Amino acid sequence: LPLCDLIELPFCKIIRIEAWNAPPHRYFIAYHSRDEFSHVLGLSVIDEFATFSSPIFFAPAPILGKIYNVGITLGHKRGADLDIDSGWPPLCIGTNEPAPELPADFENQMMDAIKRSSGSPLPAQTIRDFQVQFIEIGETSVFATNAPLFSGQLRRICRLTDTPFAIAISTGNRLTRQKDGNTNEVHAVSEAVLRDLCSHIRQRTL
Amino acid sequence: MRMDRRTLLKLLPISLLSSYAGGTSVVPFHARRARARELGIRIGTMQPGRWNAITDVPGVKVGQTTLIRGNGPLKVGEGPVRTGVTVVVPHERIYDEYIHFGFHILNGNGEVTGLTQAANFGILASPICTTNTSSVGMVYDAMLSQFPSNERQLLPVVGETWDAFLNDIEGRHVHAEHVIAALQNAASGPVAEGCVGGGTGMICYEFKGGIGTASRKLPGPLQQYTVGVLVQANHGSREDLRIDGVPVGEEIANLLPEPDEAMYMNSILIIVATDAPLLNDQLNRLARRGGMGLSKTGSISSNSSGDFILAFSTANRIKKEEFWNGTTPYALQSIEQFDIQPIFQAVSEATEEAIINAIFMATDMVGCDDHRVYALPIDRVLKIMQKYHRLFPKEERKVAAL
Repeated sequence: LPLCDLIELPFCKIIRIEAWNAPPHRYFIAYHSRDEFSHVLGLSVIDEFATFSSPIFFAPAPILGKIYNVGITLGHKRGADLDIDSGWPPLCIGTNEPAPELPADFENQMMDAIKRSSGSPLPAQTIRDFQVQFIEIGETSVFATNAPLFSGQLRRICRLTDTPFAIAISTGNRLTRQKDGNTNEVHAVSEAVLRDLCSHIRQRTL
Repeated sequence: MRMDRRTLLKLLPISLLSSYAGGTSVVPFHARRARARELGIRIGTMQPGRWNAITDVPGVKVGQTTLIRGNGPLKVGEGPVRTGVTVVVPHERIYDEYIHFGFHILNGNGEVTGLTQAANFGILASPICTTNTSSVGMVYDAMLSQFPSNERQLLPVVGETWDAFLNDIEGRHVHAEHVIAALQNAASGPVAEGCVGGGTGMICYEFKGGIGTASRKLPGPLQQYTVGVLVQANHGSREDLRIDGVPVGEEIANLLPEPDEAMYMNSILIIVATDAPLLNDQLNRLARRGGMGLSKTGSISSNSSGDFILAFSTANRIKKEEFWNGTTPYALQSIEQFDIQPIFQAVSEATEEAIINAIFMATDMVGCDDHRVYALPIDRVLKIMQKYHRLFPKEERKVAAL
C-alpha cells in the first residue's frame, strides 16, 4: 500500500500519494479544525464524501488561491470532467508565513515537481502491521497511514493533536470506480487496533 | 432466588406483560382508514416494495405498544394517556452483529440518544425506539437492560416527539414492560400506522398524525435492494401541508385542533433502512435526503423542531468481537458514488409517502382536557387531488397498490 511523499518548493509544500495521472480513485480522509483556523480550500467535498483524490498543497495563506488554481489545472489534465476521484477539488491548506515572492514560472515548477515525483518519503513508523507517517507543516498536523481506516476513525486521530488544524489520511482503502451496482470491498481495523495506533500517535505528537 | 430487574424483564412473557400493564390497552388501534397509494395518490416515480413499509427491507421488523386510557381532565400521573413506543429492529442479531449507521439533524430541538456514539463509531448496535419526549429516559433504561451484560456497551438509540396536547406526558406512562412488549411483538410484514406506538398522541400539519411508513424498490442494477422509511410525524402547520405537490393545507382551513392553540412543539423522527451496502458516511448522505422528502410535504423544519433523520444499512454486519478486538482488518462492501443517486431518490420519495401515510391512517382523537385533533378528511382530500389532476385513473391504482 502506498505512503506519502513530500515535495518541497520554496513557496509551497505538496503531499503526494501516487503519480499525478493515476486512474480515478479516492482515499478516505478526515480533518479537525480548532481555534480560528480557516485558511483551507477544498473541504466541502471532504464533508460530503469523506474522501480526496488530489495532492495536498500547503502554502502561505495569501497565495492559496494561486496554488489552488494550479491544483485545478492538474485536475483538468488528469480528467476532463474534474470528478471527485480525479483530482477535484485540490485540498489547499494555508500557513502563517508571509506571502513569498512567487517566481514567474511557479505554476510550471509545481507541475514539473509533481509530474517528476521529485519528493522524498515522509518518515514512517511501524505500529502493529501498519505504517504511520506524521509531519507538522505550518499550523497543521498531517497523519498518514496505510492502516485501513474509515473517515470516522481518521477523525479521532485528528483530535489527538492540539495544532489548529489536522488532517489524517488512510491509503488502506482505495475506492475505485464501479458500475452496475458493483461494490468496492473496503476494510477497517478494530477498535483495539485503532486504540494502539492512537496511543502511539499521541506519544509521538505530545 | 433473587432476580435483578434486568433479568426479570428478559424473562417476562408477553401475556404477563399485558396484564402487568393493568388497565392499559396494549393492542394495536385499528380503524377504517386507507393509505394514500391505495386511494390513487402516487408519490414520486419509483415502485414500492411488497408492503410499502420499512419492513420490505429484509430482516427489518417493527413492534409497537399503544397506550390509550382514560378521558377528561388532565391528572398528572393518571391520564388521559395517549402515547406508546415503537421499535425498529434492524435484524435479529443486532446486539452481536453491528451495522453501519448515519444520521442528520435538520433542526436540533429534540433528543435522540446514542448519536455521539454514532458519530464516533459509525455503527448501530441496538433497535431504534421512538416515544414521547418525557419517556426517553424510561425507554433508554429499558433498552439498556436488553444489551448483553458484562460487556462494553454501546448506547441505545431512542428518539422522541412531543405529545402533550393529547397525552399526560408528565405522567410518563411508558414503562419498561411496554418497551419489552414492543420488542417481543416486532414483526415483518404490514406495519400499523397512524395512532399507534410512539405516534399515538402525535399531530401532523394540525391533523392527527403518528406513525407512517413506505418503501421503494431500487431500479436497474440496484434492483435487489430496497429502501424503507418509518416516521413518527408530529410536525407542521396546516397551511404548509402539501400532498404530491397539491396545497391541501390551504384547501382545508377548518378541522383545526380544539381548542385552537398555536402548537409550536412540532417535530419528526425519520428512520431510513436499506439493504444496499453503504458505509456510515454514505448513510449520513442518505439521511440528509430524508429532509428533502419532509420538505415536499410542506415542512420548513421549524425553529422549535427536533427533526432527526436516522439511516442504517443491514448489508454489512460486523461481528461484535471483530469490531472491538479483531487483530486483522474486517471487510465490508460499499456501493460506489456513481450508483448512489437512485438511493437518494428512494429515500426522498419513501419519506414523503410515509408522512402522508401517517396522516391518512390516523383517526380522530380526543385526549387531555378533551382536546380534540381531527383526522385528515380523506373524501375531501381526494376531491382536492382530483381538482389538481393528481389522482390516478382507476386502472393505474391497481399497479400503484401492488
